[in-house]
Amino acid sequence: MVDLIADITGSVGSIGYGLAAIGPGIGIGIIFGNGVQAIARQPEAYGVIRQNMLLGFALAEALALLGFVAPFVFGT
Amino acid sequence: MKSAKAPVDSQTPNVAWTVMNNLIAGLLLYGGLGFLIGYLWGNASVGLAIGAVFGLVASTYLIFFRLRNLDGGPNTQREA
Amino acid sequence: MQGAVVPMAEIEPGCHLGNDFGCGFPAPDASIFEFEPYFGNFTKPVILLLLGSLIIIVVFLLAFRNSKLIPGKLQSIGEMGYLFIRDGISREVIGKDGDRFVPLLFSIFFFVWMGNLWGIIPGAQFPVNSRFAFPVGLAITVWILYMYLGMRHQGPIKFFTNMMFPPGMPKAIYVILAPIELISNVIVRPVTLSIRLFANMFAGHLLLTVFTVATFYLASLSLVGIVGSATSFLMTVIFTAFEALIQGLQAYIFTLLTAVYIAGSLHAEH
Repeated sequence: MVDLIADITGSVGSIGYGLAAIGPGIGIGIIFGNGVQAIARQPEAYGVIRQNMLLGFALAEALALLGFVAPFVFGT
Repeated sequence: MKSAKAPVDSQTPNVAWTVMNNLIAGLLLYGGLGFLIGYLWGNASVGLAIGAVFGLVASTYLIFFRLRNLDGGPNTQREA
Repeated sequence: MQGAVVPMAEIEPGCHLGNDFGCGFPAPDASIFEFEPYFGNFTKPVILLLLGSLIIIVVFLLAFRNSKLIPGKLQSIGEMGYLFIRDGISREVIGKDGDRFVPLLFSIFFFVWMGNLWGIIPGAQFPVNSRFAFPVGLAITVWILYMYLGMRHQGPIKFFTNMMFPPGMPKAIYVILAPIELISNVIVRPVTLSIRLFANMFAGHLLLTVFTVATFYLASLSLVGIVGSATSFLMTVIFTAFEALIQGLQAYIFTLLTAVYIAGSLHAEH
């Protein structure tokens, strides 16, 4: 039997959600950053850029919300 | 006090938060339905997982179709 | 950690990093948001709320009393605040016929902002909106308003029909998507409205508390602790500035989304 060196007690699900929110956070930042830059370069293309920006935001946010549900699916 | 009128975009926060509300609503609705069906059929967590994924996919579909006809987008009818 | 105030007496002289005593870092948890009432049933958030409302009422009463055509100093500031709401939020989002909602938006904006500002004012450092009941009360008010406006302006059946079936979609998927739309507009909107304000204020207050407690805790060690304590103090100052920005921004977003929901009820999307 191996001696435990470190242990996590309590709500591991919230740690899981915290880790799962890193990726979408960076992704959404990149999406909106590039979107704002594109609008600054060409303001007349604003409609197209905004549409694609929000679509990308929806997909990235979906992953973060899936990370919110996962502790309940696999939870103890 | 009037400053120089810069074009103010007031619709983008609305659309962005509408997108997020749709995602959460789809997740909750179909996740709940999936959980209920899974609970009645045995495996509750599998039902929750399938329902959540289906709900997220359905919400993304809804958002995609709604964004296609957004005002100011490429599908806007131009005044002749 | 018990009690309403961080007990500084618990950080004894022997407490430092990596000791054998067992008095580790007293991490602030959710109990720092609980308060004992001072007198009667008045706890600290309630007193701050009433005081903030009194301050707003007195300031704007003094600003707009005896208003002249050429404004004086206080009237200028009051007018800047009012025109920010009327031109920047209401006329942009609702249009000119939304002028009857400007007093409501004005009150909501300054009420939320004053409640948030108590978080960085020394002496009473507690943002009022970090207790969940206050944003929920505001969100329920906004919910009742936009539901009632929509049902009165578009007719009760038409309101839900316009909301659930946005045009321009393939007909077959309406069955799946209409419930999502309904729940998203009726249930999720006030939930996200209140949770956004509450979570931002809660997290900001918790962050400032952690850095402040760390300043005192790390100072109990010899030289490395002093460096850590100075860094923590610097982070407290930086995050106070960041928190000031976030407070104003959250008040603005709350008011803007209230205006957007009112506009969505008045002019149906087509």
